[in-house]
Amino acid sequence: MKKLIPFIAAGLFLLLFAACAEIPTLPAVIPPDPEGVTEPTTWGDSVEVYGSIDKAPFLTPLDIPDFVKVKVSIPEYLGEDLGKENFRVFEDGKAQGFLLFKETEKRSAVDIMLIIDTTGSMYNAIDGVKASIVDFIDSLKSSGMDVRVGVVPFDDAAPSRDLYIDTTNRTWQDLTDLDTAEAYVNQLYATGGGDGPENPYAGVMYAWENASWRRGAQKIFILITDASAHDPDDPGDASGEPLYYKSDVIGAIKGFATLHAVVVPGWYYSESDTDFTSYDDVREIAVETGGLVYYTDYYGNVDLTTIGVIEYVESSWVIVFESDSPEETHNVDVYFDGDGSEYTTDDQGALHLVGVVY
Amino acid sequence: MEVGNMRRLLVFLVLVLSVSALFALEIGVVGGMEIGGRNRPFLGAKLGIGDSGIGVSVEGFVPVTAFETATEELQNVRFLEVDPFLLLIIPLGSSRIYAGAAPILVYDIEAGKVGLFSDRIFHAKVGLSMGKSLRLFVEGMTAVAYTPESETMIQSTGIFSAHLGVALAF
Repeated sequence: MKKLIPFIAAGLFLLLFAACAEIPTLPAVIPPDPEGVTEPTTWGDSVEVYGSIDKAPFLTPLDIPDFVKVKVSIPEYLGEDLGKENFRVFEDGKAQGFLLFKETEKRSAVDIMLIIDTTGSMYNAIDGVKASIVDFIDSLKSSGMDVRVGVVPFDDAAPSRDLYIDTTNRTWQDLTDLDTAEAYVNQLYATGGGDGPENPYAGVMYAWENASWRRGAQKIFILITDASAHDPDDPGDASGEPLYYKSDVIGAIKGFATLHAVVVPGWYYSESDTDFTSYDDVREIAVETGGLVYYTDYYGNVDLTTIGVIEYVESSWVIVFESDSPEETHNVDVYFDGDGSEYTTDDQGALHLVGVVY
Repeated sequence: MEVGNMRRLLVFLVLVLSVSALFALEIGVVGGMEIGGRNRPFLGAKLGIGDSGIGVSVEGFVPVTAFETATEELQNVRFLEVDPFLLLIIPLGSSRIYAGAAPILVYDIEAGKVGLFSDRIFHAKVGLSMGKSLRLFVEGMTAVAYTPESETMIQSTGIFSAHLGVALAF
């Protein structure tokens, strides 16, 4: 019996730790980098390839290579059986040996932060926005995916300083289960806001820096507003609050998260706009992070299920390679070829992540 | 010391004394260096049960940037590697040689969560421990992966680590 005790103890340790496992696994050894493979100089761009680096503070255990995960989504190839022959991966120009997994074969975790403008100008739209979000959350419930949703309401401050929930302002909802998120959304109302522009950049950055993002989860922002944005050069009523340039926001989340902009047309945004580069236009963040721009109707109604969160995950693959570049920031390039043959370019696309910090 | 911490220390001491009354118990600290990979230095601690035959050793490691900055880094550490080794121990007089393997666990101190790093990658090590009550030990460790699709079934990451430590045995 005495000799069995260590076995039993080891078994108990394993059971205990495996039972509460939340950390994603690396199931195999990453193959060595291919020799003599150079980055393509010409490549087709017919296929849209979205992607991000999976970034979260983490410990690489002893004797384990420093691996990097790139999540790649190719909606056009939803349901296709892709393999390693369909991808070429380069880190700072050097070809990488890599592992490839279908996202849905692993745990499909998605973290979604809703950044919602709750100012007075949203008065006509807020009920429609809330109803759209509730419909969206209901669709997530029925998807069976491991989804968590959080909410940061904002006005000139983030979280909102004019919105009181249970007599408290500056409240927000960290990433949580869908029922809790839905209950929080239902408490939102339109109020305050002061001058015309609001502070959506601070809303995104607040969520990015404070939410409990899970390593391995798809990270998605849905920014809903009808207003232009303050920045440090145009603080207005946001003076004294944290302020960010649009480039700060793009630099922080690009490559790690996708932002979808849902804007209420009216006094600032118009569906006929094509140039989103103005410092106070949030739509450029969506374009830069591989997200979509949606327009609600006058009453804030929009079908958020068309953002395709579920389809995005179902058409995603995870590429894992070992980082061996001494650079502090990295350029990661993923080249996709639908039939694995480079002779045809109409089934090709590429993802270029520039200046990424792991 | 707070009452809560006193209580925890008391429980720990009672546990240690109880276990040591039944089995050979070893508590030690360890430091070392990765050879290959990121070449990180690291610090750790271990609690072992068993002196011959089959033993268990639960070991915690924290890689640091450099030993010079270890004190500062340990104050801000968020993740801890935990390896519960199952060991085969062969006594040789007052020394022991041993070999074993462990799953790799990562403890998120801030979130209070523990996870299995991989269901296919394990740590394997061999070691030599010298002394009776006060022990000096040296070990070599590497990570191996179970790869049923490969010819060898087992593949090494090719990264090793050298460990040096002292332990008290009860």
